Amino acid sequence: MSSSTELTEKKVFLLKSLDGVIFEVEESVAVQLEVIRELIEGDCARPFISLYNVTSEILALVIEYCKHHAETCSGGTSATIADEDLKTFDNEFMNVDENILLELCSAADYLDIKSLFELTCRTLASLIKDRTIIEVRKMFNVENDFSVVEEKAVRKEFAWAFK
Amino acid sequence: MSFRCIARDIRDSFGSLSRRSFDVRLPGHHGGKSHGSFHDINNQTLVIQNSRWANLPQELLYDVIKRLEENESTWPTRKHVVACAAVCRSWRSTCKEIVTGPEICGKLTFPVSLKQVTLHHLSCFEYVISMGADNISRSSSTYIGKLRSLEDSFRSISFLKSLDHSTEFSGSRFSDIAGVCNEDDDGKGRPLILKNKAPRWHEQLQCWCLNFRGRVTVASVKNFQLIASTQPPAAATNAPPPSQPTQSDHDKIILQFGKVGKDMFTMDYRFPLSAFQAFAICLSSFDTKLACE
Repeated sequence: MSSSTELTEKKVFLLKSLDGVIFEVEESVAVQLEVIRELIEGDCARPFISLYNVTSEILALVIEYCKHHAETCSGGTSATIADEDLKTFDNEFMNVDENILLELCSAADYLDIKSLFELTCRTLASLIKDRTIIEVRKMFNVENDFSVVEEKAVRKEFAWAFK
Repeated sequence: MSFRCIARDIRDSFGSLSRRSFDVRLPGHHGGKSHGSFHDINNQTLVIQNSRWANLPQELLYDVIKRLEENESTWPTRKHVVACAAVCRSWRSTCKEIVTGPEICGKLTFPVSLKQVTLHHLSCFEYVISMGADNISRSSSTYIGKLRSLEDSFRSISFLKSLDHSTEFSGSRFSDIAGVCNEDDDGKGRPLILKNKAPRWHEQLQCWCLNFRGRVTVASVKNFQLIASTQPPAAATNAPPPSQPTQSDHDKIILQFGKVGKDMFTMDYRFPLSAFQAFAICLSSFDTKLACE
């Protein structure tokens, strides 16, 4: 089966979010989503690709991210300028609500976008950093399920982290 | 059957995909191994959306903490990983999974800082080894142990480990250090005797050389390597004679210490020495060259 015969010249793909919104993306953007690249190569990307796991809000952000990265990388700028530009963009891009960040991380994992997954994981890690255990529990809404004895042992073991 | 082949077989009102073919990765798995159906993913997504951070998937947590751990190779920043391990049971198990022992990752997850506290008289030094640079009190939870020179010379050193037991050894040179019990089958209770690895005379450089395999870069009298002594200790003369050590056993360096820059040294140690014991031995050789002058 030849894939070239079925691909249109425009090479635009349609992505459908969980809530039914359809996004039009160029191939250079779509191939950054590893999952979709496989579909394109397998010639299974018509008429549109349904992403049952990503809401339109998050998908719009993901596409914005991939678009910027695709444009920056294909542009004529030198590698160092492009790197600098991407760094600035990534920093601004990560300046979002914590819940959005978590969903972006999940989406990046699901869609297999390695750079975005790495970026969101690192950002989440930096959120945990420099917080007390109480704050981390609160932020993640994690229940302290240590028994009294365990809690005591843990606190003793990590006493210096509580100071 | 390959992914593509399956995908081509799909007839689905949505388009070219079906639940069966689109065998995607679960959100937040690690290592690219786990797979799940759409059904699972849909459920999980809904849960995340409803209770937000509360249900950060364990696998995603693993990836996040791993990033935290990887970037923090030195103290005090490694405390973040340890703090994560104190959040709750699942976080703790995740952290324990990520943080490997120093023999594997080469990183110490517990801080070791120290201060020289007392100078009783000219020849008796006492060092406190503590995990907290600003609190060296013996009652502090950061206190690990003490290193002390005994008697009237630099010949004896005792280790007092506060928590469970004390370890003592003495000697004029490292060749006499006997401080760690060797608990293997044929040497149960027999102290491990460490001695200096003898340097080799380098004909071309016309100097005595030890091979630190790149870990030590500056020539210094403080550089040393300790190997297990092949001589059975006097205290164990009535024990069955140990089997003849192989060449590799004989050459296995248990502790090495040496200079890499101004006021910078590297310490490498291996079982059966603990970080505390290794550090104390190096400390004893450092500064005044207590143990190996």
